[in-house]
Amino acid sequence: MINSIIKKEWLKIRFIILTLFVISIGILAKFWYNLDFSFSTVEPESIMWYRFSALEQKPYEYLSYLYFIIGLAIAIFQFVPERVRNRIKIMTHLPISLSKSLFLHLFIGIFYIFILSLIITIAIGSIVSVYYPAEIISIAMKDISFYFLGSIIVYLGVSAAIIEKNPVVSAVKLVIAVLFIFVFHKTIFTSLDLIWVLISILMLFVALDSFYSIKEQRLENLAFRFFAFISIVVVSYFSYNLYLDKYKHEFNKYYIFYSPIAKAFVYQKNYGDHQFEYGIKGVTVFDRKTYESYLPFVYWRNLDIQGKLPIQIADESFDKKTIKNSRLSFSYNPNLLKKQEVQLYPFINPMSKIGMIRFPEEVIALNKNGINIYNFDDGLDEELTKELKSLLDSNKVSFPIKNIWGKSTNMKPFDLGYFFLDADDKLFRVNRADNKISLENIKYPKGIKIKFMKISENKKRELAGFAIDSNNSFYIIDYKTFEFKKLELKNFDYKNMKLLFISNAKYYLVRYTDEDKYYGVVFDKNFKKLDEDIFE
Amino acid sequence: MLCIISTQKHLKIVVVTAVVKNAQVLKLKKMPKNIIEIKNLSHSYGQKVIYQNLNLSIKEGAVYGILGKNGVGKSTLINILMGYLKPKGGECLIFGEPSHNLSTEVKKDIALLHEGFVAYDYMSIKDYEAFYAPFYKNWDRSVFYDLVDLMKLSHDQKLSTLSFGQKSQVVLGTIFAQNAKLLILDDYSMGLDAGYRRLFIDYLKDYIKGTNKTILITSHVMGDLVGLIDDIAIVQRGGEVYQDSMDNFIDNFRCYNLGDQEICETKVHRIEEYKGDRKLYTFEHVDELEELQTDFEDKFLGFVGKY
Repeated sequence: MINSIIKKEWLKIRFIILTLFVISIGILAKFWYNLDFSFSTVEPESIMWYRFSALEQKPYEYLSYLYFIIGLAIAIFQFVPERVRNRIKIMTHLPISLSKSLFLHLFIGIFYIFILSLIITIAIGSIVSVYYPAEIISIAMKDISFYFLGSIIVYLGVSAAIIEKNPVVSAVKLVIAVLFIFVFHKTIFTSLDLIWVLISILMLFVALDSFYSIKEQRLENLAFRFFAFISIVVVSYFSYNLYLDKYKHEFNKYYIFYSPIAKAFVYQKNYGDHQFEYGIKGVTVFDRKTYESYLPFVYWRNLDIQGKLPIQIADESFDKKTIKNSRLSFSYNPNLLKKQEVQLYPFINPMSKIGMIRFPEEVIALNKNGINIYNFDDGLDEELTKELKSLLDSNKVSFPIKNIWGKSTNMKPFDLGYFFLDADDKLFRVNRADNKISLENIKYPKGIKIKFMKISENKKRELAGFAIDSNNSFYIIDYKTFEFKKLELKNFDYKNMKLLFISNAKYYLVRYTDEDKYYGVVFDKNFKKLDEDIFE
Repeated sequence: MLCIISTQKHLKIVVVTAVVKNAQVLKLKKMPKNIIEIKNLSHSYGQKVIYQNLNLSIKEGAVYGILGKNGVGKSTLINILMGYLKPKGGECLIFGEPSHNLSTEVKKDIALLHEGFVAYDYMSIKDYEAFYAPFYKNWDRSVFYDLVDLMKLSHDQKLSTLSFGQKSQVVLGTIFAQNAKLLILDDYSMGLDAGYRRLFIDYLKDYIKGTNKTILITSHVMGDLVGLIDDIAIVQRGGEVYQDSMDNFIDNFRCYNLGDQEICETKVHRIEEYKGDRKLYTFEHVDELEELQTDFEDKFLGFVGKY
């Protein structure tokens, strides 16, 4: 009986299987050609690695659609002929249980999807392994395994919709399947996504429910109904959130500045549709011209054009150069907490006597037990890896590395390297210049747990960035000493708030918001708090 | 008297034990059991009533015809019987099991011809036979090939390349090869020319001769069925179903030349008028009128009306 059904399904879908195979080979050939072209024309090749690790540009990502198409095509070619002229009645009348019959059909479909996916996976793996280091290959293999899971979800969802007798229920099942794919499809898969294996198993039973409908029955199992309901609720919730994320309209209700003239916070309130209100909270509202006049360090270009610089404020004079050179900002939002999927970072190597920073050939790769250095030509750069290992050993760096921060680009005036927390929460800075690797232990306030650092290589060379700890404390990092200077920010919540640190000629302003309340805190140049306010 | 009713899988035996003074006599009587039982069946599509409180039993060994014009609900009844439609009321039992939830064992005993000779057209004749064979323990491939070989076709020919008539024989081959106890043949005549219909009827008669197989057949072509069917149910629009034996119906339903005469309404089943001729169809004897010779198809059309 099993052989009969296997042969029947093969006779039915063999042409689409062969067609999909040929299409896949063509697409894979194009993929290989494109990838080879990219690597042969990019200079250096490690930029491609950087694009993968830092910019999340996965060259094979579009192939996920090939997997989805395979699932879709096999579902259509397997079950549409069964629905045409109600051939599916033949299946339901065979002397074999409905569940056995349906699962056999589905497993045959899944088997062919698996075979095609396996061929594609091996091909992608082989192609990727020519160009990328092991860390990226393993990520690619993980992603492709999820693409296979995606094709199963498409297959089961579409099959359930095709088999279903009731057109309304069929449409609902199709919509849910589409929502599933909408939520499922992403660039980075984590272990949480293994929940989709369970959802796939649940979808087997959704398809069984469809099959039962041919004989006017339903899957009455309470557990099935419960999990189906839960899945629909959860996926609807995630779909809605994804939709909001994708089409979210950034809206800042308040722009808060501190006026060196009024010695008060002035605000621009945004009502939307380019409608604004300007004023000083609880004191007065005024027009835009007055507003700009209160903020000479913000609208200094206008003053410059009008020939009003230098400007005298109280007993201080500020010329164009002072204002311009003092300008600096650091921004933060909770999305920055997301770690890179692949812990691969360009190992910048400024050559002081040659010129601007060039994008390096080498990357550092963090792994559980150490740090490797790769270059495209040799793969593992044994010499550099050994040199770095020696430094790591002598500084007693413990693994695995908990977190690493730095600006992995050559578009900066100089390089501070990377700051990383080892397994014992010791903070180190590793960098390379003139072909020499340095590793330095950085002291930071005792008892805090660093959750985030932003390193900024700016021409001002006063501040090197900022850090945030687990207690929501915010620290400015001194450029010369890497000393952490704590700024008191009331109610700051790094997991939910955006923050902007702004330097001007006279103050440091920090404003942060959860988009409900807008906080402004102003410090003098010695980081002494001068004023603070909340706008709601 | 003690009555013990023992129900085995597909066999209901009524054992009557009679206790007689000074002697014990055991009488064993095998009654023809009901293969299909329809109880108080009601079904409708919206306002259109198809069946209303239909009760019908088909006994083992019977050849039962569900007859009616197109669209009255013959296939609906088959679909309800096979669980593809849920009736609005009542229940259907086949071999004692609810028709919408037949066990695998019972399904082995039911060879079902789906309306329109639905088949896997992408298979060859050989593949089609090989597909079905493992599902049925009594499968008789010689029956299949006997029927198929009448058409002198290559066994490697795909069903999609056959004419409708040829395909119908292949499908019927799989029905007969199952050697099932119950054959349900839904509109076997659909799309078939007279030759293939005759071939089928002749083959079927020969196939069931000397067996105790039960046949449920639906058709709107009446002429072929004489001599095949034992009992009939004539389905009419509005849910009325007339049940009788074929012989009774043929013997008792008559056609008279009515001419200009008036007749008591109680004697009228239907009066048919065409170009000035008036015919009376009735179950009554009307001695004063001239009886017209009619075949089964005439009687059927007289019963249900031509339009």
